[in-house]
Amino acid sequence: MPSRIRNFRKWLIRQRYFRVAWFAKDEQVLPEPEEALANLPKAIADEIIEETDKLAVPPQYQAAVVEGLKETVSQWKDRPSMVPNSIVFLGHPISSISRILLSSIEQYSSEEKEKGEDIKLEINLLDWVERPPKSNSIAKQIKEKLGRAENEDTYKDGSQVSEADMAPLHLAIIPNLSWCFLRSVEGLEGIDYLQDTLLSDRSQFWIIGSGQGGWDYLNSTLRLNAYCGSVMTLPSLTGEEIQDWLTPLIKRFEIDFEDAAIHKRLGQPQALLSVKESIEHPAEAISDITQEVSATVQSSIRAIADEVLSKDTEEDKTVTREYFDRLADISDGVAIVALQLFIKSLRYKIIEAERDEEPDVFSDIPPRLDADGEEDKTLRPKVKEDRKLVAVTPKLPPLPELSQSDMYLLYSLMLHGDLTILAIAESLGDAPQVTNNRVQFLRKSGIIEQRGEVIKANPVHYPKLRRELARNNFIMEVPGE
Amino acid sequence: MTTYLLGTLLAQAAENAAGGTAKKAGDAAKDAAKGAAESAGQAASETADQTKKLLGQITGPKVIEAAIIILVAYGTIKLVDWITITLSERVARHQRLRVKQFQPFIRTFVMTLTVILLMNLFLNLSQENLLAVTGTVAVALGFAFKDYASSIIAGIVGLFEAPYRVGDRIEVADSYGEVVSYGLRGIRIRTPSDNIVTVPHNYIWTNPVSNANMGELEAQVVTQFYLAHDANPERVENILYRVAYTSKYTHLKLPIAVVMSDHTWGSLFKLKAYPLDARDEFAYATDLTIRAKKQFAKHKLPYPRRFDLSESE
Repeated sequence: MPSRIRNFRKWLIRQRYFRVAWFAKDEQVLPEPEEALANLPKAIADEIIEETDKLAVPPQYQAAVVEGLKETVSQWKDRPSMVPNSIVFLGHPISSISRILLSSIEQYSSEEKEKGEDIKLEINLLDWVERPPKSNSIAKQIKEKLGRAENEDTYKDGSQVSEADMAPLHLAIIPNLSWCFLRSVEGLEGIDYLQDTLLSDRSQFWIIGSGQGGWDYLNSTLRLNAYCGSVMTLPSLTGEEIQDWLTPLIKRFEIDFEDAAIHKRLGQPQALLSVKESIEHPAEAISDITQEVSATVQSSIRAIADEVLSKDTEEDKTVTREYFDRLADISDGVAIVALQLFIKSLRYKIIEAERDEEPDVFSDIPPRLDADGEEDKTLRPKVKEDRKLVAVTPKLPPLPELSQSDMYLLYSLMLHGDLTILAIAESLGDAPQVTNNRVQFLRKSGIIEQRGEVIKANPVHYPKLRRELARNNFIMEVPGE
Repeated sequence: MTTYLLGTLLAQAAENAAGGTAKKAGDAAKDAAKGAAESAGQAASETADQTKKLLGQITGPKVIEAAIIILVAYGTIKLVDWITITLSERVARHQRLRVKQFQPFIRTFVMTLTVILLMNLFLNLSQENLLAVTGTVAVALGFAFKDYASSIIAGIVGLFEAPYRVGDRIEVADSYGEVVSYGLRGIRIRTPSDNIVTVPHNYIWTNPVSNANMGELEAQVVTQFYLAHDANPERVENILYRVAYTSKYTHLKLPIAVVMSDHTWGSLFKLKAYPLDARDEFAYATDLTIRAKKQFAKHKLPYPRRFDLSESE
């Protein structure tokens, strides 16, 4: 079993990199955090992207899935006709739930094997890497992949089912439920089929991954939750957990963390100028300044408390912890958002010791690179070369002003995770041309990303976007509400 | 002058009544009339003096001051309009109408304050002046601006009674649309065809006002579908629910209902649902109709052959 899932997971990442990678961005426009990467030397930027791909699924996600599977699958194996035969794992619409789920099932399988309890179950895997292009064929295709022959469904109702009586038990895996429906009249037929099958076919245990937005929609319209067993939401990561997850990156690039406390900032007057000041983008400037001030106040209070209480903790460790606590806070503990905000906060700065020796007026000016990735030296003639990566205060970018039509489109993306232009047009009930106009407009504002035909929301905007949609009556879950 | 005429009339009446029978009585009456005429003349000359005095107080600086007051009031009203409209479009959608409600209150307050300031500036509002002015204004309004005064009073009553508010979708005086402005004299409604209809407030004294959302953002949209008796009602019902569930406009937190009624010409199905934004009601009804008709065609659901529109529902 593990090999088939592993192969599919690898194939999925290879075939649908833009949809499932931790850091796959729009190549034509430069939304955040590519803008930050563009200011780094090309070699380092490429290496950072390469290293992010190697990041494993956060262990907290895996642990939650494995724990859920251990509890439910074993119960179902003992009494297939009596206990719920499905479990749903919910992630965020911008996270690749299929990647998380497949990796966790691999982990579950190997743990069971280690314990000598090989699950010995046949696997029915819905090995899709995207939604079928024709929404009215979804139900048919799910049936072909996951359906069982009629005679296999027979079992003795209400009694302990013996192996002899029961058709061989299977695990049916739907890595991403969002690919099994489209918000259109015919696009929900796949869910109709699942509703009919989930309760009737008890010889299969269904492991379903879904985005929270799509799941909430299906519950409010088709009451899908009434047909499913357990529902588990992937946990929010704490600052410490995000730090542990990103440690390979931090170590590999020897990243330093900048202290935002006021006394440190006053020591580097040029760093104060890093705040985006633009008359053309006042919202961005206000958002930047507000977040900088908030971080400075927090860090200053921490620095004073450390001084007063004479804490023995190393300053570097405290600064790093503070950075990741803030990162967890603004990213709502969502791994992919935290990672992208982390990359967005990276700067290539001169080493402090050298700065002290001889002040360098060009040190905080980002390099301007030509087409070959070489730096244009006219902008910074005397810049020092001895630099390193420093993570400055992580900040959420301001949400662009959104019209009602924009919100309808973005909510569609929250329901489905990723969509093609044609699918999004069908989901909105608009003409593809009209949809494409809005898509290109939103793409330029950086809130969505596109590669080929596929469109998805930019994760760095997700925390603010979900709140904005919830404030405007869309069904969106918001932490703390 | 009025008093003088009255006195003369009284004198004439007394003369006619007595018919010259009692000369003494006649003399007394003449004296009384003369006294009344004198006092009336005195009063008239006092009023004329006061008017001259008041007019004499209208100086150049006062006119400039009045112009400044009017300009400031105008500017304030425009600023309030801009702030409330801009703010209402930026806050969370369910707060939009609440913010807009401030507009008529603040406008009325600013206008009332301006009128009081101007009156105080030119009429020197002492107790006597106030009574005199109020009386004069009341008589003038009573005859010349009866409807205008009625509308202003209805507008003030309407602020508290709230048969309609800014942002409400109302049907009044054969017009349906969104209330976009609440003025001193009347309201303005933007109709679906983007016409602006002005309706005076005094319309509410004696006429019904149909309000679809009463200060709430949500307004139910009822879309009607006409099908033949042969159409499978269960299938139609399922299609209509599915159409509502999958419309981008549907407010999924609010109930959706399909109601059917049978008629001689066929079956009438009503799909009742709420759009996320009441402003989208016509786009919403269109979206529901288009997508439902596609499904009716796909499932070959027949339409009625004849509409008897005179039949009551």
